Amino acid sequence: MKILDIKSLVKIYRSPFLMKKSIGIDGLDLEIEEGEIYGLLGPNGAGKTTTLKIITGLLQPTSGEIKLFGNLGPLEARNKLGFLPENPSFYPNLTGEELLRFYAKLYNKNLSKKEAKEKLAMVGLENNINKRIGAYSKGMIQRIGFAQSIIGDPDFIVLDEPLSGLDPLGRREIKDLIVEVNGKGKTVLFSSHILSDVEAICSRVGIIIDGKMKQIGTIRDILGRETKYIEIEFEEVKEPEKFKKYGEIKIEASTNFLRIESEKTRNKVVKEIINKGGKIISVIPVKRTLEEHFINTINE
Amino acid sequence: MNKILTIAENTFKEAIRDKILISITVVGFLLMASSKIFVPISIGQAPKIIKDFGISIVEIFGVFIVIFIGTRIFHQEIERKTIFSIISKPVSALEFVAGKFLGLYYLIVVVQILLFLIFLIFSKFYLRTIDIYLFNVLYFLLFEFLLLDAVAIFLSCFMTPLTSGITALLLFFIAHLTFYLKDLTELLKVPGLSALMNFPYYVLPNFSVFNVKSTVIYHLPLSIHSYLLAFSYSLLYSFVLIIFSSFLYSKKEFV
Amino acid sequence: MKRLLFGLILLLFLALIEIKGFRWIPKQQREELLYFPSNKFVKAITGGFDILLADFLWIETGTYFGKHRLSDKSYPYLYHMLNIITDLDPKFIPPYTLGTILLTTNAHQSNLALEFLDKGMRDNPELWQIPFTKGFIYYIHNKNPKEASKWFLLASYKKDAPELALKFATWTLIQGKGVEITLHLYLNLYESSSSPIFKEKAIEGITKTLSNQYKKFYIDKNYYAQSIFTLYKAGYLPFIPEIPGGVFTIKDGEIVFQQFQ
Repeated sequence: MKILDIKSLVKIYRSPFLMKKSIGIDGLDLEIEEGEIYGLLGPNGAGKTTTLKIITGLLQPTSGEIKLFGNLGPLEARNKLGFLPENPSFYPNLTGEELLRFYAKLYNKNLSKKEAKEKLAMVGLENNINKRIGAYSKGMIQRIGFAQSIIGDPDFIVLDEPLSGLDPLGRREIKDLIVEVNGKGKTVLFSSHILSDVEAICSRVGIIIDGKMKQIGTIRDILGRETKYIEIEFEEVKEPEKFKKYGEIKIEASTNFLRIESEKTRNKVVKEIINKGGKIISVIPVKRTLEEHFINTINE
Repeated sequence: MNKILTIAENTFKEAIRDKILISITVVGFLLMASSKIFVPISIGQAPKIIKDFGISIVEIFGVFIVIFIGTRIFHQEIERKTIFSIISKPVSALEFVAGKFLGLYYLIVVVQILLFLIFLIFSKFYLRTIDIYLFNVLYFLLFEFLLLDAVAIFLSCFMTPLTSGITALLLFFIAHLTFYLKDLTELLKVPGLSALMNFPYYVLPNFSVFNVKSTVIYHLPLSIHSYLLAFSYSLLYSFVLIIFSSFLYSKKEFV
Repeated sequence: MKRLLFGLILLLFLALIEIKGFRWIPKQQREELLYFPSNKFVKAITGGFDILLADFLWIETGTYFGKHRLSDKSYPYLYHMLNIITDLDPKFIPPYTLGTILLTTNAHQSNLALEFLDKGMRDNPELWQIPFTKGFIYYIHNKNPKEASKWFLLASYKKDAPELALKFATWTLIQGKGVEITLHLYLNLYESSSSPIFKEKAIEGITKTLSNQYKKFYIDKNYYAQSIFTLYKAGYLPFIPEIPGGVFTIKDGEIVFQQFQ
């Protein structure tokens, strides 16, 4: 089942007095299937946050069609939706426990103190139950933000830069949580600049540029099966510089690194090294990263 | 209704913990305490002046809360971006606006009752007596602030905090003199003009409905109609303003 | 630290300017600040705080009166202030009762005072104090016992009116009751207000009445009475007026009110 189905979405911003307009989204199509973890990528100003805000009802589209959970009305749809905004902010004078219980009530759910504490523990805030949000660090805000996005047990969780402001351990924990909730059948849509994180957990990725969806697909589809280059590490060869004809070579004190671009020449090169009395340490095929693909796509 | 009460409770909690209540109570306490200075300079009218002053302080602080907190109530949510986490939840515009309105009203009621109690304490201390009849003022003040709260909420839906604060204050003052405009139309007897002058009288909130200070201070009787008018006018008008506010709010976008 | 010191020095200069310079604010300008425009305009802008503003104006009136009593003894804005006070708070009675007495005795504007009392009666038809005050002014200052009687009689019909109102209504028409009425009126004035101004006024009035009787005694008898009791015994006083905290006595040939130590 399609959780989200967007067709030809357009969002135009108009400044009230100058009547200037700027195009935020320019004919975007997006479909998200149930059970996916979908990563939304794009440079700054591409329209990621605008898209997420339109999905969650913070902005109204200028034109286009959006279907959330089929044809559910906006309030019904938001009942099954959880949202973490970018650089989130919460009521500074409430404690973490009070905040979660407040948000739970907005889903008509009564969260007991015990359950609220469990949720806080889930995001690593078990030692800050009675601390006011105003005293939280950025990382703690991000964690409680994630907690509130899942508080209503939503079927669809939308996260705008969920890993921002977190240290590596925190990022690992949240990624694990995303995978965990996905494992329980929840669909997740998140935008991120940290491409390695997107690569690690997303089943599908969409790249937005200038308000349009440029590419959609699984990581594998986008990056392809192609190898970027093959790196051969070898040693004990006299005159290793002679292998320059095959590709870029880096000669170090005890070992040499040769990059060859074609799979076809690999066997020939390996044979030649062995014939010259050399020793092969490793042969590693290096594929293109998402980051490299992403930058290429933008530059195109 | 649950969501409205939840948002109201949250609004109240946030405001209370902002130390506003303590500040207002302390300042109110000091002002009431200072009313003793009227005794030597009042030319024998100290009891009346102390009562007038005390009741006016209670009312002024209510106006202060509405103007300075009420008109910022939405803007603060947008400024802080806490609105993002609310609007994306299954909360309708009406529930959100009504919740904010009610939360602010809780705060006003608490402040009014607290200051009124402080006034009664000083009344007993300085005048050796508590005038029970003055509780009538509290009844009318609570309905006055229900309406002023709704006005502030309505204005803050489409104005900046500064503009809505000034407008709310102006409306509060102007609304006490709309009956002058009505008298003027009867005197002038110009058809087009009377319709124009009657417009503010009937359309703008008429706060003179709640102004019973003079009647109560002089222990003049209050008719049951005054009580019913204050109750029904305040509730109905507030209800209408909240409906319109929620409509305006539903059209807002949060960039 | 340097900044703090600099700030303190500036503060000192500011204080110096205020002490030496503020005296140059034109006095007229300050006086004119007392003058409010139209009454209705003032009422319109109070935003429901009219009775509080009336109270502050009443205090201001006391200050205004006190200041001019000690200086030029001229009160050009007294009536206007009382008028605004009662427009803001029509049920506020002291401007009508006590204010008109000052308007009559100090500002010498008894006609204005009488008109003002008519306004008071329109706004407060149920009260006895306002027609009573009108009677007071007619009797004591305008020396018109017939008019005074009319107003005392009207006062006597009102709810809670004292018996004295009816008594005065008849006494003012009887010859020889003048001193009794005058003394009672001033004693009533003394008791009706806790303000020192009005108590002083009452003592002044009683002293003046006693002095008149003291002079009358001398004219008739060709010698001075030794005490107030003598005046009473000789029938020049209907009773000896008593004011708490002091006594009326004759000292160095004059009637004085001596306060107890």
